[in-house]
Amino acid sequence: MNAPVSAASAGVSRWSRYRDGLVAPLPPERVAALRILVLGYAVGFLLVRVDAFWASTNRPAWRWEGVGVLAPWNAPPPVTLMRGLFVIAVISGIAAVIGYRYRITAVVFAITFLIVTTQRLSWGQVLHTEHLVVVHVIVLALAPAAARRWSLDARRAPCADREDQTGWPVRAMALATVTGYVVAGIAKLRNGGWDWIVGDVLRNQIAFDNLRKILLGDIHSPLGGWLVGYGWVFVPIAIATIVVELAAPMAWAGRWWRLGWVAVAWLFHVGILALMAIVFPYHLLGVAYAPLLAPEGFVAAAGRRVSGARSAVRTARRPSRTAS
Amino acid sequence: MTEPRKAWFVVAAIVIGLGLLPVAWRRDSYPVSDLPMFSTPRGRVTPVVTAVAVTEGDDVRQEWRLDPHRLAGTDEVIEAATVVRRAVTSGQADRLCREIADRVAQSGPGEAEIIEVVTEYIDAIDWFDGRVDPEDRVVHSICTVERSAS
Repeated sequence: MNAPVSAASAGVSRWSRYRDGLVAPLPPERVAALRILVLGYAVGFLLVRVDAFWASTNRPAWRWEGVGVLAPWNAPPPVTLMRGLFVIAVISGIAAVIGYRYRITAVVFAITFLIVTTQRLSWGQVLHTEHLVVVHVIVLALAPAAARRWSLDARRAPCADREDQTGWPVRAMALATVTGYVVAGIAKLRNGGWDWIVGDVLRNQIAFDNLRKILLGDIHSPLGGWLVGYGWVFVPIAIATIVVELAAPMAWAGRWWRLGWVAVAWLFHVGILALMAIVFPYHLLGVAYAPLLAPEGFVAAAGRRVSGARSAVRTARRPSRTAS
Repeated sequence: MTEPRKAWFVVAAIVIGLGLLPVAWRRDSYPVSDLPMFSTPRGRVTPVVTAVAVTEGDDVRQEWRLDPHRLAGTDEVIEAATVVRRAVTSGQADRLCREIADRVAQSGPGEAEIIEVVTEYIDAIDWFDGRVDPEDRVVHSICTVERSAS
C-alpha cells in the first residue's frame, strides 16, 4: 500500500521541483549576455541590410500592403519619416547594446525596430526571418534587469547583487523560440495535411523554390535541385522536420533534452540552407537559441578577448622608455 | 529572491497565447504569424509568374530572364515574385510592365526591345531533369523598352 503513495508523492515533489525551477532566479549575467547578443544581432541586421531598408522606403505606392502595426496605413509612410526612424533605431540600438540609459534606449529601439522591419515587410510578402528577433527585442525592452551587468548604466550606478527580475525575460524569450517552432509545425500539418509527410508537398516545394530562384537569377541550391529527382528522400526529411518542430517543448524537459533539441533545430536550419539556399541568420548564428543555453560564459570570454586585444594594442603603441 | 510565481505564469501565458493566436486566426502577419512557410500544397506543375525581356530581330526570338532588381527594384527574390504575381492578379500588369521597361532601359540588357509579363506553367521536378520547356504560357502584358536618344 505504501508504494503507490510514495510514487505519487515522488511525482508531486518532482513536479514541485520542476515548477520551482521555472521561477528560480538566474544569474544577472545571463540576461545581460542576451541583451548584448540579441540587440547586437538586431543592430547588425539593420546595418548589413541598410540598402534593402533604404530602398524599401521608396517603392511605388500601389504596391503597399501594410501589415502588423502598419496595417491601418492605406499608403506607405513618408520616406523621410521612415529613414529618420531607421537612423533612430540604429543609434538607440547601439546605446541599448552597451547599456547606456537602457530603460529608455531599449524601449525606443524596440519600437523603432518593430516599425522599420514592419515597413520592409509591408509590400505584399511577409518574410519570416525577423519575427523571432523582434519578439526577443520587445521582451528585452521590458526587462531593465538586462542592464545590471556589463553595461554603462551599471558602471555609473553599480547595483547590489540583485537577482530578481532576471529570470522571466530569459524564460519568456526561450518560450517564444519554442512556440515559434510548434506553430510552424502546426501550419505544415494543417495546410499540407498528411500529404506533407508522406506525399510530395515538401519535394515540390523545394523544386519550386529552387526553380524560381534560378529563373529570377538568384542563388539556388544545386543539392536541392539534384535531390528532387529522388522522391523517396523527402519522406524521412519531412518526418524529421515535423518532429523537430512539434517536439520543441522537449527543450523544457531538462538540460540534455534542451541541448539535444537545440543541436537538432540548428541542423534543421543548416538543412534548409543546403536544400533551398534560404538563410535564417538569427538561427544559424545561434542567437535564437541563446535563451535556452547559458550564453554568459561565451559573452564573458569574448569580452575578455576584446579587452585583452585592446590592452595589447595600447602596449604596442606606448613608446618604450628604454629605447634610446 | 524567487520571482513571483504567478507573475511568471502570466508572462508564459502571454507569450504562448500571442504565439498561438495567429494559428487560430490563420493569419500571417508581423511580428505574430501562423508561420506558413513551406507548408502550402503545391503540385509538380506550378505557375511561375514573371517578366522576360525580349528581342525579335531577324525572326529570331531572344529572351532574357530578369533579376529581382529589374522586376521589382528589390534584391529579395520572394518579394519580386510576389510583386509580379500581385500585379497580375490585381490588374496592374500593364503598370508593372512599364516600370520594368524603365529599369531595363537603364540597366539592360541593351538589346531588349519589349517586356512580357507572363505566367509559365513549369513541371519543377522535370525541369531539374533537363526538360525545361514550360507546359503552358500565358502573356498578361507586353510593353516596349523606350530608350532616350542620347
